[in-house]
Amino acid sequence: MATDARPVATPQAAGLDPFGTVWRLLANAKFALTLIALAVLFGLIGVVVPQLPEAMRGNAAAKAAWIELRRDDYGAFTGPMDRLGMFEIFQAPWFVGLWIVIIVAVTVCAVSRFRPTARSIHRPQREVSERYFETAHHRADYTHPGGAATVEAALRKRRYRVERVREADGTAYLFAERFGWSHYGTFVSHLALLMVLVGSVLTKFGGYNETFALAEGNPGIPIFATPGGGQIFVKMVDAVRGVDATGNIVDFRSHLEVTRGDRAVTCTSTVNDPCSAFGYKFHQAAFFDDLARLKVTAPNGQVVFDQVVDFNAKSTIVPAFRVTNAVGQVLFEGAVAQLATDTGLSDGREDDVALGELAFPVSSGSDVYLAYALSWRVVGSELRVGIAGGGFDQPRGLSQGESVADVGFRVEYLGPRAIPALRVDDLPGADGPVTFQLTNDPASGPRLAVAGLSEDVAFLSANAPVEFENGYSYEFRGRLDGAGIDVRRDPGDTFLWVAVGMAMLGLGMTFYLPRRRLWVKVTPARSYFAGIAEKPARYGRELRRMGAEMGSRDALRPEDVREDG
Amino acid sequence: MDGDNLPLPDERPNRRREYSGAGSTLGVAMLIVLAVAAALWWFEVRNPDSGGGVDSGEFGIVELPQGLNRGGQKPAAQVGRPAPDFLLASPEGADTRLSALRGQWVLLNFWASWCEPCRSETPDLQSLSVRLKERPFTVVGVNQQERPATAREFTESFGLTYPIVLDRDGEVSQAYRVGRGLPVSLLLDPQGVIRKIYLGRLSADALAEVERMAAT
Repeated sequence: MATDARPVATPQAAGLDPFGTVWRLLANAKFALTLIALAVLFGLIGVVVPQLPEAMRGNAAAKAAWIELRRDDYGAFTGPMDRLGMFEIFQAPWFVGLWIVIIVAVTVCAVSRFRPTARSIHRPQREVSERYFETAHHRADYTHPGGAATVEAALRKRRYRVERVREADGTAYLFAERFGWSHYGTFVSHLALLMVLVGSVLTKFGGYNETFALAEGNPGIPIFATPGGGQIFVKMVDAVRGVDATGNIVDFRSHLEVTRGDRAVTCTSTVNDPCSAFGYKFHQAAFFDDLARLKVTAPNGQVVFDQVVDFNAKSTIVPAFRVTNAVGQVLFEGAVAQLATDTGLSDGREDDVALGELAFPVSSGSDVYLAYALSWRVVGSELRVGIAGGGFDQPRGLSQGESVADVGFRVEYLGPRAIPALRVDDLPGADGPVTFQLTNDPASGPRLAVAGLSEDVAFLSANAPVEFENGYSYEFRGRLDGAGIDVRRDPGDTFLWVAVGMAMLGLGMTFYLPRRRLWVKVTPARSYFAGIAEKPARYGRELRRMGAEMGSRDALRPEDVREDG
Repeated sequence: MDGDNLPLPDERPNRRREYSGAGSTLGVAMLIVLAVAAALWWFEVRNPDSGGGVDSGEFGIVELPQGLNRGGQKPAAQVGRPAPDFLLASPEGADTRLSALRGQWVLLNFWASWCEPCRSETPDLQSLSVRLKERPFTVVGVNQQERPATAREFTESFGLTYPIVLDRDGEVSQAYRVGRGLPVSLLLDPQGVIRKIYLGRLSADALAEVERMAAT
């Protein structure tokens, strides 16, 4: 943008020149700053004042109903604000036009600056005033043997492009240049800055980022808080925790169905590879495996509850066992639910003992079950287990990793496990709080232990409705997985990446390809050097050191020698 | 050439602005702007992946017939104001116009199948609907932006008998100030005036209040 104090090269005054007038306006720094200030001001107003939702635009009745609601906040100002377009600022033609004028002004400024720069690079001034050799910021003069040819050779050795412009009265005038085109680096850098601004604006106003927890089997949920014709729904089809042959987790992935209107896209998202649909990216952000679907039907047949029970990471610690028969066949492997608590004799919880039951089929696939009574409590830092019943004449104590044998079975205590457990206060049909525990035995599948619906804890197997004494039927419809899905859209990211690349290119050109432009007057007695380099460069010293290499005895100054030393 | 008459070199040409004619200054700038705009349109707007969306055509908010607005106030989703009229289709395709229900109490219930509180209150609404079926009262469930099949599956799952309509493009939800925070229910009197607005799941007290008012 035009902000420097240099005089503006104005068009020739040749009668009426409307384009010239427009150019002067667009290249005017004050005009540009005024435009930017207005854009920022109205942008802020657009953020503070509620804006008419997209779905209602073009529907006069819907808009009128919406505007009426604004009277609560803006009272008598509502009408005038509506007429001024304050409720539709970002869609208002004048606001869009304001930004277009800003963009045009920035572009006009850049184009207007580009031409003199390009001319300077491609058609450089090859001769300068004699005065310049005495006044240039970077200059040097010294005697040296060899005349102009030696200077030309020394410059070419330093990768200068050298041109002998004129010779008169034994004096040669040289023009030399190195990396002249690197001046474009400034434009590339500035263009990168402009792209960062455009990208940031696009990200700010067109970007989106929100995270959703999606469970398998649930309907798709809308991603936008405000309903509208462009609403997108995302549904978890399958959340997967990938494990390898040894049981190690190798990845998490989500198979998603994304719909907008009647169009549906299915895609798979992983942690490192988000999937895309309708211009949005869907990133895997988390994984949950503590969800259960429960359906409750009232005595009159009315479905009164059909939802996902989210244990929300709430759990209880219980022991896990593996039961094998005499030939090593695994009959049970998993955690057992807590059925009750023996509160002991003291008022405190120090002598509380949890009670449970280990039940397993006597052979694989058998309907005949054998059960042991279990008790457990934390002793020190260990969960100690007692097992009784079966063929044991007295209870046996078990520490983690220990096992006991009984009438052809071996029961191994695998150690403590956390299983999802949740208390629900308002389950339909229940008189009081109900406690759910979710267990998973690979042999018999997941089961939902429910305490509080009947005197005993009931175990619900998947898809097997159980009717309780209250007349309500409870159906555990399976254990579900879920995932946190991060939905993002960043229309500015392409601009930002390109801008980063351009900034690196531009800065690289500017700092690693230092531009040098040099005019040399070689007289029989002495050579005079005057040049242009970027401000930080110590170009005068460069020229003096070159003189020393050419055999000059008076080129170097004392400070040059000290610095070399 | 006289060296003393030569100009001093321009050390910073990039700081100077130069007008070189309408075409080569303003024209080039306009070309650049148009090229960038075309690129933005190509990559961000035209992108086929960003298509889709719903256009519900004739359905949505409609003008409230003059004769049905006795108070003369503009319709708005506010207590004491006439409810904005709408025309929506049921999952089976039948049209329902809100103003056609004049003369009876209407409990307008905005819901979606993904909304857990909606699933919780739906059996209560069905029971209420059955209890008041002899009264001039009806529950109208407005599904927010879901597909007809999804809404149908939900109504069949809960055995709903009260009318369900589909707000496919969300316009009616917008007019009633209903966002993603579902459910929202509005009780309209027989004149179509909003008497109560209930945010969230209807409590037992709220249901009792609806029942009491509808009995007047």
